[in-house]
Amino acid sequence: MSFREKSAWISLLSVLIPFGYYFTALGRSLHSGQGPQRYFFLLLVACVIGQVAIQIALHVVAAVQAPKDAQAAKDERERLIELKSTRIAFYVLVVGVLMVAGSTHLGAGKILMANGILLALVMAELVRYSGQIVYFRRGC
Amino acid sequence: MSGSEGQLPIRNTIRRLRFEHKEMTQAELAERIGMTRQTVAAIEQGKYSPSLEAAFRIARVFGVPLESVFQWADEAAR
Repeated sequence: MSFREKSAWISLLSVLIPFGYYFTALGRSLHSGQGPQRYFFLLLVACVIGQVAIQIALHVVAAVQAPKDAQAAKDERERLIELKSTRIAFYVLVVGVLMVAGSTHLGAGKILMANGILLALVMAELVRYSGQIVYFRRGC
Repeated sequence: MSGSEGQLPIRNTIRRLRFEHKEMTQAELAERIGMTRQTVAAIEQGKYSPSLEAAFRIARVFGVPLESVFQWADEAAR
């Protein structure tokens, strides 16, 4: 597995683990009728810190295993893979943002909408990194 | 430029040319053309079509014309 593919896996996990926990906790809270509380703002900050920490730690491990690959510039296939997966992720983001905008008419509050936009961003990132992994696996 | 679905209509002789050039490894070829070993493997397996510039660089490494490295699949089968 190339360093870039490892990097895509690391990025995927670094988004999936903390934000998966965040949205699961938020969903449970909403389901129980409590609604977003101040606790979730602190949890969000912790998730961002967790994401950065996972990214740094695992990328350092991957770079130590293959220092030459880690320092090498991206080649044309790797750049193409990034572009293709980013294009798909863009559509996910657009759909997510439109759905959040539409939720205004359903009486969603600003905190709920902010979380909706965050969810759209997270989903787009997950699709982007998943797309990269699929393209790396397929060759391109 | 890439083959988005399955095998591309272009075949190549990179594998044979590597063996004819002192069994050059994919990593060696990759280094000489400024690409990753995985990209060379993808080109060799017909999963990725390189840019024109990269194709010319590959041909130059082997000292052969471009059409000796890449051919249309139907022409290569003849």
